[in-house]
Amino acid sequence: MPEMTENAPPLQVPTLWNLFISFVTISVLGFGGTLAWARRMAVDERRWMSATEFNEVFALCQFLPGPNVANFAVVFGARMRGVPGAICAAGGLIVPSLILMIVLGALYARYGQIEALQRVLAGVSTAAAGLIFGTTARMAQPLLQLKQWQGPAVALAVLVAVGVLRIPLWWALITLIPLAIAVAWRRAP
Amino acid sequence: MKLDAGTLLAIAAHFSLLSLLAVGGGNATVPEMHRHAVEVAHWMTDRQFADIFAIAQAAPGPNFLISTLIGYQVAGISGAMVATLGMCGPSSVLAYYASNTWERFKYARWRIATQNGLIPVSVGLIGASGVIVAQAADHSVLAYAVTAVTAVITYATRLNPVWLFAGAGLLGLAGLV
Repeated sequence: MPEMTENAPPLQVPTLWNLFISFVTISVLGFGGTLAWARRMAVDERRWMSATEFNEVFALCQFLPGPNVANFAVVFGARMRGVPGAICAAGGLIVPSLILMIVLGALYARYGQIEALQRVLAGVSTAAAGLIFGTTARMAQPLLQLKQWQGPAVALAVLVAVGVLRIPLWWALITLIPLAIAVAWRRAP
Repeated sequence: MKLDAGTLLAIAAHFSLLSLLAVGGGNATVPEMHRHAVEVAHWMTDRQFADIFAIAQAAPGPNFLISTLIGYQVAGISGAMVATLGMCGPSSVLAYYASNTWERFKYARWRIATQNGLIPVSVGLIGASGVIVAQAADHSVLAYAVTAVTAVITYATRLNPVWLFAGAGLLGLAGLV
């Protein structure tokens, strides 16, 4: 990967321990969107990856199915240190959150019926729904800026099929993904 | 909840499938998690699903961890581990192999078309997640209003969502939503 700025310090290669600890940090600090933290760590702070390379890996991880940030941990770890690197990065991402979720799950199972907690959770879940809608609007913005009706139409069809009609996900994807790709194929250079 | 190999296998099968259907990340599969957990397998009520979603969103860490909480709810610690592994495992293996071949097809038309075609699909899926959670969570006019205000703030500002959760939690505690 050629560096655009000649004076930029050279990229470093992390050790397995570095990888593990970095993804532990991302996992623990990553409120609302861990990928922004991943970028800060990989590109800005540790200089393990150039901004261009990060964008390419990021695009790949969004494109592939599965949790984006877990994909990122695997691809990033593998590029740095092969399969052990992928395992250390993904382990660092997952293990602390897994432990936290088990603790929270146990607390919910034990105290979830307490009325005050029920009320707090009822409030938080209304905001959680709003957060998702706000994120959707942000994601939809580049689609709307293309000023072509096909992309927004596909997004709306998926939303109605899965969110309102509650069609099983695989049925919706089997029918709508080929349609979406066909539409994009006609627009592709 | 009885804990047996059959239950764990059902959890593993469900989340492994979701792992490969998660076009647009973990939150894209929330509608299917809800459909399966609440309507098909009867693992939990609508109310519990909304609670669990709120906990997973408000806690730090990647947002696919709602799968961990569902697994825990169904089959305790082993359920939590099986669900998490199911959610991340198949897609991780795919990502590992795909990253080696991705560069080769960087300018191929099918690759560009596939990538561009999947973007609106993932936008639609995340929007559907919002609809599912709002229907499970919002039961009053004020609740819908909180959802709407949170959506606008998230869209228009870079405010840390922790503050939104804290505010909405206080409104809930006061019995207003």
